[in-house]
Amino acid sequence: MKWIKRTSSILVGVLVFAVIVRVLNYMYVGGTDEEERILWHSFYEDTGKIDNLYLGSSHVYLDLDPYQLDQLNGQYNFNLSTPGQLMNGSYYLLKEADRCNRLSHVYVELYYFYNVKDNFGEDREPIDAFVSCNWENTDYMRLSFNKLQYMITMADMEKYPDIVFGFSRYREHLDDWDYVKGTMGRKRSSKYLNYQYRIDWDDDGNMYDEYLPRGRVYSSKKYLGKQRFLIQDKILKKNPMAETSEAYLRKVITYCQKREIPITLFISPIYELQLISTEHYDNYLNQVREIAEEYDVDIYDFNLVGEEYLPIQEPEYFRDVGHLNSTGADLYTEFFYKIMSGGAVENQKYFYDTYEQKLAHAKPEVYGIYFRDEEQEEEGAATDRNMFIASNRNEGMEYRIVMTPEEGNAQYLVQDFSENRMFKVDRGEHGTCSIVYRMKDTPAAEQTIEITY
Amino acid sequence: MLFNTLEYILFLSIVVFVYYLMPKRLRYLWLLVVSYYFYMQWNPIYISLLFLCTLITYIGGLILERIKSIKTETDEKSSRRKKTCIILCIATSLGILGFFKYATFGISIFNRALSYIGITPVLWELDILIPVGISFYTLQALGYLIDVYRGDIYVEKNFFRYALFVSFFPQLVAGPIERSKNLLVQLHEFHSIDYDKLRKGLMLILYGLFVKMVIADRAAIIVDTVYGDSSAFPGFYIVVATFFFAIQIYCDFYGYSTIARGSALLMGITLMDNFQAPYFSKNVREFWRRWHISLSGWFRDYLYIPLGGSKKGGLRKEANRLFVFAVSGLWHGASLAFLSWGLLNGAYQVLEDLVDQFKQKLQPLAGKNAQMVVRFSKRLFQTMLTFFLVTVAWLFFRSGGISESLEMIRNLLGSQNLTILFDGSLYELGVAKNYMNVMLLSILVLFIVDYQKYHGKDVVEAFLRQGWWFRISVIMTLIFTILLYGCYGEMYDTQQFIYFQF
Repeated sequence: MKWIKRTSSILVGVLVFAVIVRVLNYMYVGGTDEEERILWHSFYEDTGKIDNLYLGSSHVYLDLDPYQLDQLNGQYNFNLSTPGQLMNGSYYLLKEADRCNRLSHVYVELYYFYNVKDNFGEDREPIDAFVSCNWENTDYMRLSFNKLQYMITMADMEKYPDIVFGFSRYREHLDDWDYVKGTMGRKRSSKYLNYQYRIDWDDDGNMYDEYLPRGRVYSSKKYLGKQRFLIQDKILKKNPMAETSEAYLRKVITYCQKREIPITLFISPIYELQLISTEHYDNYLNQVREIAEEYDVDIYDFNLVGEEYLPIQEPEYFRDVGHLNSTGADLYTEFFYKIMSGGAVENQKYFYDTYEQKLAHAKPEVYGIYFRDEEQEEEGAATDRNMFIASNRNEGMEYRIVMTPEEGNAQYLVQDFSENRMFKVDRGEHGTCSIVYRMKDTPAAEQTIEITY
Repeated sequence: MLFNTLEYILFLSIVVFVYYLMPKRLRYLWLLVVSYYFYMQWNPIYISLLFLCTLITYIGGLILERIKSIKTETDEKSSRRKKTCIILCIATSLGILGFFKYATFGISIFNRALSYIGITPVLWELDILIPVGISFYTLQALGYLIDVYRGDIYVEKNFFRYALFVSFFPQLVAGPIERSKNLLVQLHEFHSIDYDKLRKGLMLILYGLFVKMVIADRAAIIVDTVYGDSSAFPGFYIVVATFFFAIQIYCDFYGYSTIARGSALLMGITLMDNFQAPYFSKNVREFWRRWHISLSGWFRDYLYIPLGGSKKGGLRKEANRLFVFAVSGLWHGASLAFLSWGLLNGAYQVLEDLVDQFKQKLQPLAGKNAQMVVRFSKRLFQTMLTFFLVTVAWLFFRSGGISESLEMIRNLLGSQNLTILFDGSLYELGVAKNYMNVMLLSILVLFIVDYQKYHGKDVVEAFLRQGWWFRISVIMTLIFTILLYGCYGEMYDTQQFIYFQF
């Protein structure tokens, strides 16, 4: 009898613990990960239906429209894509999808940012630097051996409490009752209960992001020209892919090949400003191509498509520097389908071999300005900021740069038609930068771009 | 593998689970294997030093036994040979300890002396990483050897069991420095699963994690901020930080020792309690009977008493005391700051002896039946004074050097900013208001528990006798205080236990 009493008291203790965890999660968790919640709800509702699976980060759910793809390919398409999805995430999500469906084809997006190491600071693996990108998946995945495996392998053991107990991640809000009220209020709202979520980007609701089922985010937001100012913290040196990303990419491919599920790798279009700022984007591309070749898997980088086939490098098609808005997504999805339904040899004509080649063939253009703070901090130069003009010409183009600072400071000229693409600005200074650019051999054809910095 | 990590909790769970699955007579071998594995998590190469220390003292014990058993020898000859043997063993073990712990310090002192008299310093410098726990296991092994020499304990003939005595993982890296009469004897016993021991062990682990993660590591943030730049945080900032360091080092070490006791108890082994509410002591002498008891006891039994203790006159007694505390200071680390800290604690006690003598002369003048309020006030004053004196000594301990300590004192005295205690400035030392409040509340809980302990009560036993709802409420409060207010996870570096470096 004694052991029954003891066992039951332990079980009741565990139950009390679980109830408290649940209450705390209800109070603190759920402020920032609506997209995952809607996605996973939709995923489990669609159990058994999914034919084509699209894995990857926000570049999938914003850029590819599964509903449009349904109409184009006559199959059931699903974006199991999550914010900042890392390659280990793609692997476990693939297994989850395969566990619940009979997959016809798997498409894996390989956005460089989450697959390479940090260049500055601690040179951390993405799996360590972006642990939250993983736990936001496991928060909503149903209990399975796959989920447990995912949780165990996603981070060092010291991060397990944050992985297992969601509330512990929000400890900074412990006595912030407004936060708690806000979270609980949101959870009681009909929108939350009905899995509806929309963010308005201006007061009149003219621009918005809406989270739809099947991993689709519809965005009417536009990337305004003046916003083309970017911090760049990843310079892509030779073989820049992180070890864990490479290892998990291999696992994804091997898994599909073992399960005889066709797999295609792809990279969605990004606004040129970001890719140019990586300085050696081809290094990344070469590495993923080598891996794809090793396994005899097709890979398509839509950043290499000639503008005559996919004229998407216009701010009006973008939501921000990395993502398409819905107008851009419509254009891209259609072209994506065209490529995926065509043969590899036939497709070759649409793509340049390297990113450098593509830039050289594009019409001369400046896409914006980027800067690197961390690099300068390492050098100990803290007052100035190195700014770089992102143009598609390394030589032959000259720039006139005029800065108009805010706060009533006088306008000043940085350079007057020089080929120099780097200039310095005081870190504390903000305003508008006006760049007039022209090709040396056609000085009359001047163009101007204005950027808020 | 730190005690306040999930890695350790997982390790301990596996160890305990397998321990009870194994045949009883083989369990000590399992513990030996996991203890060596545990130690190798720090620096695998240094396992050889642990093994060497074990081997030297083991063989030393066997030789002492052999000498004793030779009946043909005269007592004098036997005694001489025993002495030679034990001196050799002690010298070798201390030689290894000294090399790894003090060689760098010795060379730097030597070089400083050479520079002082105008001679070029020697060029070679040693950059040695101190093996974790070497000071602890060396003293434990030597304690065994001296006990064998004195005939206080039998010789352990089973090498593996003896090796486990030296390397038992819960107390391997930071004590308690166990006596062979307690631990070695228990390693011979066959322990069955004992529900009461299991839950007491778990409770001790939980309480140890609470004081370490909620109090010590949080206080460490304030201490590190102020001690890291004392010129930016002068005056009462230093007073506050030194107070918090007194709390930090206690909770850090007490937390470790409590987890160690709890871990051992899960396997049915009772380790000594290393702390008995030291901050309630009414003088520094008592403090040292209650703080790091295993080390104080070791120095008392194996150094102070052999030096003559208090038996050779007042002057000699005080000299012995100062010497022992100087050694104790140096045991903590090779630096003049530790030496000063040790000497200061020794000097306090010398002064207390002098004051006691003076008080005895005044005793007849004082009323014998002082009122309770007066007695309480006197008691409170004594406790606070002791805490103050000990805390002043901690300043030397924490500063890391004599010049740094003096700099701290200069900065402390150089600013009269009492208002920082009330105007919210303390919340800007890295600990937000809610965390600070919970830490202070936890310190209050600690003091309540310690007060009970001071009066001889076994708080954990008493707690386990309470009703289920009370127990579950306290357990859940502790668990969730750790989860909500403990230092762990993405935002914090897990703080190593301070005494691991010694």
